[in-house]
Amino acid sequence: MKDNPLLKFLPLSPATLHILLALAGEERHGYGIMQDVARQSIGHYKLGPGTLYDNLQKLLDQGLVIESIRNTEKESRRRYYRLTTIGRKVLEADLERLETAVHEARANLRHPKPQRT
Amino acid sequence: MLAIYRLLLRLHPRAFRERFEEEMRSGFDDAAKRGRELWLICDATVSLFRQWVLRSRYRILEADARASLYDGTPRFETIRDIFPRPLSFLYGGMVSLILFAGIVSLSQQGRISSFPGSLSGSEVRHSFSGLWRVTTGIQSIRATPPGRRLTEWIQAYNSGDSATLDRFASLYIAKHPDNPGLVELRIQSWLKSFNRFGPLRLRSIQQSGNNRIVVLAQADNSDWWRIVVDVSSDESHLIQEIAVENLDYSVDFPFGR
Repeated sequence: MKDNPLLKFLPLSPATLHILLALAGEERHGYGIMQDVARQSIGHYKLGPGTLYDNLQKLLDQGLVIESIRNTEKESRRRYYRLTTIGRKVLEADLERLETAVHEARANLRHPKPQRT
Repeated sequence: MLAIYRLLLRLHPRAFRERFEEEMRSGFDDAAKRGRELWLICDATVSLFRQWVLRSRYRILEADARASLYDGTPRFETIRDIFPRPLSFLYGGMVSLILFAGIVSLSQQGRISSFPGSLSGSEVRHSFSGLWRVTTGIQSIRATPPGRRLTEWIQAYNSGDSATLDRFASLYIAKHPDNPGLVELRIQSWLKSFNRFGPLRLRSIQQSGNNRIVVLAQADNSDWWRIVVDVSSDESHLIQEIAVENLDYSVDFPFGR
């Protein structure tokens, strides 16, 4: 477990997690990511362009996200981004981590341990 | 709003701008239609802070880029694509002068004299005049009666020797009929200062007249001292008053060692 190379990317920050989730289904441009993040969180988490591109830069550097080329004239001002294979694995690993945490939290809430006196 | 947003984007590191500026502007156009300009400006401000403070990689990239272009010629740099109007320099100069005059004026009135490490108005004036003298190399004490007495006093003080100071006092310091033990007390005080702070070195002459000289000196521990010597106007030129005051200024102000 300690040798798992994905561990160095975990845990993902909320912004990073939302961006990767937005790109999990399909490739999107920056504004599309922002809209999808708002949709995922039912409007509770608003990602600004500054935060978005700062995180995208980091993800591109880490190789978790890659730019995809679109040559249509209409889309010339926009770049599209998609997950790489390793990006998808990192997202899956973080979701697994979150699932474990949520499972444990629920168990603790259902069966609270008796307090020591 | 768009102009402010563009300015904020242009202040971002070059590597970031080249990659994302166009997209961020496009995002602004989209979001502006929904009346969220202010939020976008706040976001860009936070992003600006984050890029320069937390993402040092960009600074390194920019430094590398600059270093690769550097040919050894001294130069000024501006943020790319931002060229200040000539009038901006005039306005900037005027604002700087007004601020400087205001600070000196407040200092002269004693309103900010308690500011840590600050000088009073007259001290500021003396400091600048002293700085000028040091810069121009005019530091030697003129051969006026108080100048000669001060030179002799510094030599006696820096000897750190009680007998030398006693001899100096008996020759050059006027006796106070009301307080005959005052000279002895001062000698003890000077010896204590010498042992604690080390010898004094003359740094600046603040005032030099026929009966009074005021100088700034610096001790080994970088403390600043003001020495005021008043001599009688008769031929003996005995020292009527000698004040040695530790200024407690910040180290190396106003003159480097």
